[in-house]
Order: sequence, then C-alpha cells, then structure tokens
Amino acid sequence: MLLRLLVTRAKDISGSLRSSCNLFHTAAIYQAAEKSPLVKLRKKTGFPVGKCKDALSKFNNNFQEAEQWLRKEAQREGWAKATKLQGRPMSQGLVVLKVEGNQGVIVEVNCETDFVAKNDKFQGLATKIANACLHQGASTNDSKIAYDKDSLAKVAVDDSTVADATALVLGNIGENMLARRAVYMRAGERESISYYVHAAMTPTVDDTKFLAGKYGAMVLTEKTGDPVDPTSDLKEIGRSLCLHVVGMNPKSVGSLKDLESSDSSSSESSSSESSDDEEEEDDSVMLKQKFVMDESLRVADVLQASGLTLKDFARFECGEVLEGDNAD
Amino acid sequence: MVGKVMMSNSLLFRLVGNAGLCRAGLNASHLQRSLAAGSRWFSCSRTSYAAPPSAGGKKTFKRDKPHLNIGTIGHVDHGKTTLTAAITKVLSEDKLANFTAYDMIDRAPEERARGITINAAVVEYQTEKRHYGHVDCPGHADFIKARAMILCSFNMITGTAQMEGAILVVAATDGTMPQTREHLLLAQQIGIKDIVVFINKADAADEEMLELVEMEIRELLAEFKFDADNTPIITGSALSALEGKDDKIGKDSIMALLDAVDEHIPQPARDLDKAFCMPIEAVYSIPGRGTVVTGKVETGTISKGEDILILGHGQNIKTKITGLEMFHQMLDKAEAGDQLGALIKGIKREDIRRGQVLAKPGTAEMFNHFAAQVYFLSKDEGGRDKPFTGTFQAHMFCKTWDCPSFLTMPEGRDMIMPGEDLKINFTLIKDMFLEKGMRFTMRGGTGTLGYGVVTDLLPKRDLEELELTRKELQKQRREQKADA
Repeated sequence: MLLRLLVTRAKDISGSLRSSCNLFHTAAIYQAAEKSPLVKLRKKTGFPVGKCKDALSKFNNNFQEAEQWLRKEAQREGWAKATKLQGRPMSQGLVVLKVEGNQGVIVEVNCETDFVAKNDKFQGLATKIANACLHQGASTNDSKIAYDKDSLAKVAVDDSTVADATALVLGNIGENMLARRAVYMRAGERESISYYVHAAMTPTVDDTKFLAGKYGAMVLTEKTGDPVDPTSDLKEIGRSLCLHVVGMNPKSVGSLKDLESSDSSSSESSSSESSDDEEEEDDSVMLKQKFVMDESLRVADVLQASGLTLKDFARFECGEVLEGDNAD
Repeated sequence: MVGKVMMSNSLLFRLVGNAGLCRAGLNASHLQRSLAAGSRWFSCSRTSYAAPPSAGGKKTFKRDKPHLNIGTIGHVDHGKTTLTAAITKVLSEDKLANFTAYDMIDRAPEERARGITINAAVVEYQTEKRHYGHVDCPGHADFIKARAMILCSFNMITGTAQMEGAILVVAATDGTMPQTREHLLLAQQIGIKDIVVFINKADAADEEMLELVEMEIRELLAEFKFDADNTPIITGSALSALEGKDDKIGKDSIMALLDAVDEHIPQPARDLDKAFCMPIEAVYSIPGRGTVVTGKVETGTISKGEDILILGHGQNIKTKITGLEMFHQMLDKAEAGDQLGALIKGIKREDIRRGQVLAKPGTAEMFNHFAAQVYFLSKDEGGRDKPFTGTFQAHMFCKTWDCPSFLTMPEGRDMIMPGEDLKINFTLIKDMFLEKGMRFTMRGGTGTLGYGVVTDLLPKRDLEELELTRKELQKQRREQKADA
C-alpha cells in the first residue's frame, strides 16, 4: 500500500514536471521502492516476479534465505520449464564461432524467436558453449570433433554440463532452447584455420574473439606452395574462401584429381550426357564451384594461385534443415 | 476526320472512366491503397456505384471510422494471442468484432502476400471511435518483412508499413523478460512512437507484484526513450475476459485497454490533409484540347487553375492545371482517391511520361540517392539462389515508375544472402520523385529480388563518379585475373 502511494505520488509530481524530468522520475520511484524486499530480490536475481514473491513468503520475508533458495531452485526450475516447453519449434538462434591460435569451434544454438537470439543472455550462453567445446577439444588429440545435440549436451561447462547451462538460461528467458551442434577443428603443421561469420552482430559479450550471426564457416587450408603474387594477403584469401562457403553452400571439398580428370575429359569433348552429370556435381563440390567474389574463377584456381590446398571446411546456417531431422 | 474528332473528344472520358471501372475489381493493391488512405474507399464507391454488391456473400467493408494499424509485442507466453482473442470476444458483444477464438488466431500462421510467406496473425475489430487492423508477428524479421509488404487476412488487407502503435503485453507473474528490450528496440526501429501496456495475468498476481511490474515497465520504456510517464498501463486478465469471469479484471480491463489505445495512439494525418500528389499512369494528347495526364490522386486535393509541378525522370517542370475530369464529368476540385484526368497547360505529350508525378510546388523533391530497409527474398520465396556481392544492380519499381538502380554494399559487409533483411543505400541512374516511407519492389534478371521501404533521403550522388569507381573496380579485377 505504501508502495502504491509512492507510485501515485511520483506520478503526480512528474505529471507537472513531465518531460523535463522523465529520467529523474523513474529513478525516483525506483529509489523509493528499493526498500521493498520484493523489488530488491527481483532486481538482484532477475527471477520471475511470482517466484520472488513465493520465495519471500516461504521464508517470512527473510531476504538472504529467499535469495539462496531461489538460486538453488533455479536449476530445477530451468529443467521443469525445459520439460514443459519441449517440442515447441525452434527456427531461430545463433551461430557462434571462435578461433584461437590453431584451434577453432563453431556452434549452433537455437531458440524460438529472433528477439531472444539478439538478447545478451542468450549470446552469453552461446559463447559459453563455444568456449566449453574449445576447451574439451584442446584436451584431446583429435584434429576434428563433430558434436550433435546429444554429445554436445554432455560437454562440461564450469562444474555442470551444456544441458544444465542451457536449462538455466531457458528458465530465465522462457523460450525453448537447444545447443544443436558444434564442430571443433585443429590445424596441424603448415595448416591454418580461416573463419567468417555472416552479418556478425555487435558482440554483447566482452570477448572480441567471438563472432555471432546467422551463418558461419571455418575453412582449413594447407600451405603447399608459394602464392603467384607474393604480396597477396593469405589471411584475406582465407576469409574470402569462408565467405564462399557461406554464400555458395558447397557439400564437399572434392579432389584435385577429379578436377584434372574432368578437365581433360571435357577438353576431349566427351559425350553431352556425361558433361550434364558433371555440371550437377559442380554445384556442390567446392573446388569446382565458381568463386563467389569473382565468377570468372573457380575455387581451385584461387587456391592454386595462392599456393594453398583445401583440406576441410565446416558451414553452419542457423535453423537449416539437417539430414535426419524428420526423425525427431 | 469527323470520326477522329469524335473519338478524341470522348477519349479522355473513356480513359478515365475505364480506369475507374477497373477499380471496382477487387485488385489487391487498390484495396490496400484505399484502406491506407483515409476516405478513399468511400470516394471510390460513391463515384462508381451507390451500393457495391457484396462479392460472394462476403460482408462489405464499411469505411465510416478512421482506420489504424496496431500490433502486439511481447514474450511468447505472456498471452498476446489470448489478449487478441479476448478483445474480439468483448467487442463482439457490441457487434464491433467477430469473435476469433484463440486457436483460430494461433493457427493463422503463414499469410501469403504476393507469394511470400510472412508469419503473422491479423484480426480486425472496431471500437466506438476507430477501426483497427491488429497484427501479431512472432519475430523481428517477420515485422520487417511485413512492413515492406502487405498482409492479407479475412476481409481486409492492411499495409503494416504504417503500424502506428503497439500494445506491449507483460505477464504480471513474470514481469519484464530479458528480451523485452529487443521488443522495444523493434518498436523503435519500425517507427512506433506510442505504446500502450497491458499487464496480463492479474488474476494470478497480487497488488505488490502488479506495482513492481508496472515500475519495471516504466523504467524500461524510459530507457528506450518512450514517454514512460504518460504511457497508459492497464492491468487485467485476458483469460478472465475470454472466459467471461471476474469482469473487473476481465471484460472491464479489455475495455479500459481499448479506451487507452483510442486515446493514446494519435490518428495519423489523413491522406486528404496531405499535400497534393498524383503519380502519372499515362499521358495523352487530345487534339483541340491539349495534353492530358491520368492517374490516381494519392494525397491531398487539387483545383482547376492551380500551379503544379511535374517531377521525375530527371525533369522538373512547372505548369498549371487547366482542367480536371473524372467519370465523364468536369470537376472543379479533385481529392485523394479520385481517378483523375488532368489537362496540363503548355506541355507537349512528348515532354512528359508515365512515372512522373504531379505535385504541389514546394512539397515534392527528386532524389537519386537514398537508404532503404529491404528484404531480399530467399530462394524458396522465388528470390535469388546466389548471394549478392560488390555493387550490384536491381531494377526498382515504385508507384508508376521504374528505374535501374545500384545497391552499395553496406560498410563492413562483403555479401548479402537471399532471405536477409538489412538497411542499404541505393543510387538511381535518374532523379526520381521519392518520399520517406515509400514502398518499392526490386527485380533482377530472374524475377523479384525483394521489397523495401525508403527510410532516408540522401544528398545527390554524382553518377559519373559512381561509374568511374565501378570501372576502376572492374579493371582491378581484370588485372588480378591476368596476374593469376
């Protein structure tokens, strides 16, 4: 009741002073109400208003106990919410990428609306998961690890798992969420990882090594020769190869041998039927694709001119339909 | 010779008359324009026929109240759909809406507008004061898409480009959510200035909680530069209203919400009150009379004898209106919505062309450089399958004109994927009449590339300079290739 009085009072005052003290006014009510334990608890924990209320009444307005209880409950609440929202479709989310030295990781985390994908709590979760994968990958000898949603759920984050961390954020944001997949890569000797995130958003997480967007790609190349133009920027070429992967969506790397044989066969003017087949194949084999930044070149030509060999790539498009999705 | 004179005398009437009859057909773009345009619908039916026959037994849309588009924003579980259903339920008691049940709204997911899917639910209803189009989209991108396009639903077609206000729904049990910030950011981005807040689920909350939630909302509104102090915040329960229980937080709260929307969200200027503008659809030369331009008056009014500007295709001609005609009749004054033939003083047919506009001097300008919020169709929607890179070309269609344009990749961008929405700068190869808020279509070799809304008009750009930079880039590329 006192609170209501304060609110109405503040409203009256501000009514007369209106626009000039817009900010002052809101600050004023807020300060006045800061005394209420409910306001304090909600502000401090960010848990739903109803939950804060429950906690306070359970512990007779004892702030400390209520807060402790809420924090303890959060994980359980998150899981309860996760179970409740299970099965709600998720088409939005983020692709998060982090490359550090010779290691890189790319992760897709889904949610229901793009509003949530833009929120810093969600971005925080996605980067946390990426870090965890990077950490786990570094502790193995594998040069590439691909995670699906089940294996990703078990990856350790702090002292719990990805699944727990996801449930915690899910409980707070109230939308269905899923860490869907990830790929970890490590570059060997003479190899390097290039990366690109399409339309990367301004990071809200205080770590410039993270990139988040709707599409992301990593490309693994090996230096097998010298570039034709010694001044060419290999880092920039690597980045444009990633751009190509995002834009042209290749399905496989292809091999130089195939390329040569198809070149020679076409110069020998093979039958029209087989060249048709090849054209279809060209669509998805990266080496044969036309380079996105210059349609007159093939990816293979770009690589050759730069003295690089394409070893592997990973491409994530947020929300894309994957093989085996129908089984869910 | 006699025949020719007779024909030409009636030609003007026939042209105008025919164009008018076409309008009786339920052409989508017409409907949309009529709805967006204050009293246009009325003037159309008034002049073409007294009582329009109802098509296929459908109810005839009556335009006797001002129309306004509003949207609901808020967290997925805070009861936006329940609220929408409750509004139609409460208003249906006074026959001001058709009750649309929860599952009916929720099920109206993919509206097809010009072959493009937008996730949106649309209902219509009216209060004592206004007629409303009520739109709810699940995502940010859907709102952006909807803004550049047109939504069709039930009997109505509404241009969400002019979404004038929003109802923010927050559940009292949860309070504001982390993503409420992103919801308000969207409202800001699509130009919504006035918000009305509905604190829902009051049946499951007590006084203290409601006060806390209200405080949180005002704090957040202030942070996003909305008028936090004067934003009406209504407390109630959409569920109670829907179930007909507890009228105080049920039905009464819905009425209070609608009153607040009526009062707080101002009616935008009617097209009739804006400056005169008419895009030219065709130009005719009528022997013995002079040059006549035809088109539909988009905004404002015009009288015989007034000075007028003909703008577009790089031309800017000042002249006078010497005669106005519509539906076989001479007019002294024409207004927004009229299908008009205007006799122009001292201009030859060859000097002007379709795509230019007639405008009141001093109210319209030409530009060749502007920024727009655009949506590029995804491959599934009939858009391009390959990304856009560098400076690329698109043919732009807007009102009655079309013109080739160059799109400049925004800074820090190397590529645009089909299915993306973003703000981008356009350069037209000719100066054209442009206004903020104008909607347009982009086409390329293979078909429609996307849709856009003009957001900023920019200083004129030197086309020669643009051409030189393009040539320079091409040259560089060729050299690089030669090196390789």
